[in-house]
Amino acid sequence: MKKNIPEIEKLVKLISKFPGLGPKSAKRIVLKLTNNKEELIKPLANTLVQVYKNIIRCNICGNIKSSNSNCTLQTCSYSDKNYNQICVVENIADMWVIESLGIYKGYYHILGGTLSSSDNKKTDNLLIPSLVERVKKNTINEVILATSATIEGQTTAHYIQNSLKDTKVKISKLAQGLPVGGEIEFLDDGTLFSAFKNRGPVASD
Amino acid sequence: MQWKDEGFLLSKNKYGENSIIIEVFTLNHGKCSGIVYGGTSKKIKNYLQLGNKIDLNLKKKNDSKLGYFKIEIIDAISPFFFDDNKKINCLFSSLNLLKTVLPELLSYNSIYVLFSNFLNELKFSNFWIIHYIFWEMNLLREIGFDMNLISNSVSKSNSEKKMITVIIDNEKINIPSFMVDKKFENINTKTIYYALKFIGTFLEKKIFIPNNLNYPISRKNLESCFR
Repeated sequence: MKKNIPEIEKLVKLISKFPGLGPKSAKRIVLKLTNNKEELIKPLANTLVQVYKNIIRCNICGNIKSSNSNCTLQTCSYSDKNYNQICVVENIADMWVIESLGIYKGYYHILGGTLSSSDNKKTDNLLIPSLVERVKKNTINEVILATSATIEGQTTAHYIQNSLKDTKVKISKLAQGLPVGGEIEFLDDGTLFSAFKNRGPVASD
Repeated sequence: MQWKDEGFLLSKNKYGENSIIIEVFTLNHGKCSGIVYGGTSKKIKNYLQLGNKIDLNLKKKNDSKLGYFKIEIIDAISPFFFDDNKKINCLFSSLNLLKTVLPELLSYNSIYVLFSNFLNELKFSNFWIIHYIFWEMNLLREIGFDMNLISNSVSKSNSEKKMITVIIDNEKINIPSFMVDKKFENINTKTIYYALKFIGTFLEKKIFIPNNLNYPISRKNLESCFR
């Protein structure tokens, strides 16, 4: 009769919680790990301990940072240069996507979610007060709201706009409309409506 | 069992990696929940926006189990209000209210028609907030919390007087007169705020506090838009 090893079972359970992995893939990973104890388990365990000890979420800009770095409202450990723009995104994944494009050079502010209609999530959980403070304490000319084109994302954008009313900083938000490669015939009503509503003049030569 | 219906999306929650559990207010089956497999995909995610009218095809083993939906868009409603803070808060508030007050799997055709009409007004009418106030009052009446403002009013309104006194639960309350006489000439932001506040207090006393629910933030935001 097959006897289960509790340590292995526990590890399989934990690994299967990762995105994209189920119990079968987790078992394969565990097998790979147990077969390469010195090369994989040891450095992996050490790195995980280091990450657990040293990596925290910055409570000013919302980015992940080393616990040794000192962030203040004026200085951000994530960027060495001084910028006059802040791009507000919902989560770190959004920031990574924008950053990988290389089209934006400036500070980021990660909210850590959106205002929700259903669960009465408090606005304090989102880093909106620290955004207002950052705008006030730095020479920021523009705040770019890069929240999702969903009802929750747009409500959050309106809320931020209201919170920043007193600072008189320029607030802009990402355009909504036709996606690149989108054929009008196959577009949904909402996208087409936004495209028509936000249409712009054709640039002349 | 299997049924086909149409409904408005009230809420959505992530389920697993690729699926979503949605709550919809349907025409013939009332408020119900179900899983949308692949709900996080680019195609489906686009139209799974709160407030959108969707065509639903539900399959489930029995009444006690959560079924799964196949969905198609009928009318994209929420993108119309993305740029309007007041309207987006109003839509949010109405969805939240439906989610809170409606029982599961009990058909409410009249409320569905009321909500559908209200969304039309929200889209096209300049007096959408008046329609919202009356929609809330009608919703309360339909679920058994009629305020009976006409029979409960003790002082009559005239053209100069914008407020009227009503007695609710042995308490005298001043409310904007348009809520009783339906004359909409002298309405301003302040009277709208008072009307929203009055219904909000009523909701809090009759529904939220007895059911141990918090006052919805979306409604607070809507009130603050008119303060």
